[in-house]
Amino acid sequence: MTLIKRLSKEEADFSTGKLKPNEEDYASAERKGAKGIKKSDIFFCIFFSCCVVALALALIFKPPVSPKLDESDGEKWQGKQAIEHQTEVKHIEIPGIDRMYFKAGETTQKVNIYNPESNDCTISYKLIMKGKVIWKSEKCYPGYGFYEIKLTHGLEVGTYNAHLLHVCERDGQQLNSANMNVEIIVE
Amino acid sequence: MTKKRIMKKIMCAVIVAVMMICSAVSADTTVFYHEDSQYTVLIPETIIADGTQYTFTAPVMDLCDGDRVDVTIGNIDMAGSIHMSTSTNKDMIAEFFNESGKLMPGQTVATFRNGMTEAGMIYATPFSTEGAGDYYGSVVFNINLVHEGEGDVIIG
Repeated sequence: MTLIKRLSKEEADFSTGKLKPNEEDYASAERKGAKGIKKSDIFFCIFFSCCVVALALALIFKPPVSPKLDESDGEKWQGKQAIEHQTEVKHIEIPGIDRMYFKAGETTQKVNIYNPESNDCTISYKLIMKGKVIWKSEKCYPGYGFYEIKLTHGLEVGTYNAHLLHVCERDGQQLNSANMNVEIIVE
Repeated sequence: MTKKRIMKKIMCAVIVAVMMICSAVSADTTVFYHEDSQYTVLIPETIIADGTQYTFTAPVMDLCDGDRVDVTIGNIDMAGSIHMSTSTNKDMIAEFFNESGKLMPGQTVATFRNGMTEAGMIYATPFSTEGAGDYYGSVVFNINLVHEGEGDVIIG
């Protein structure tokens, strides 16, 4: 209660002119300018702004720099090159079949179609004539083959062009395949 | 005795005549045997489309005179490329080349003649891809015995 009373008294004295403000406070305010900012701060701000504007203008109106090709290391890039490297190449052995002799009117025919033992894949065969499959096999494992096949229908006497498609697979993954023209002679 | 002599002479004459006839007939007889061309071609199991080169080899190439074995790529398109894809259906196109440049449909990549064990060379490079992944495709090699002078056999 005593402190409140004393503060109220000082406020009253200040408003009536009995209490004068400190003279040092006035001098400090004059040095800082009307708003209390140092002159050196203003000069620094102006100098900093000029530097920023100059830098911005320099970046905007920068002349294009043309590279000196003679000085560049390396050579003119023309796209990626093919780089040779060692890769284990596996092969599939495809025995040639040029001709087959069939009996007229019969669906069961004798052939020599086999998957060589040296292969590491299965082969499924399709005998195709005039765009139609006249015989197809399931997967034939290496070292196995067919001595007899059953055609979808018997053929009349004559010579036919057909092709024997070899579809090669291993572990469910299809490998490259082979296709062979075969002359079928029906007697 | 005279009759016997005459008989002997006649028999000799008959035997000589038969022998002459036989020899004349055998002179006209020929022996013929034909064995078809036999061959085995090794095709690459997988082609890695990174520029790796592949050649074709033939452990057996016993061909009749005038025969040759041609190898072509059957499923190449007009741009000399093959379509490949990933399990997530990203697509890729691989281009195929031989020594003389990009392959065209029906262009021979290897020709074997009697006794040859190695021929041709191909390689593939990626033309366009849809980003990282394992792309798969399959090449169908046409392997055909051609009787030169008779024209190429047309697939039926």
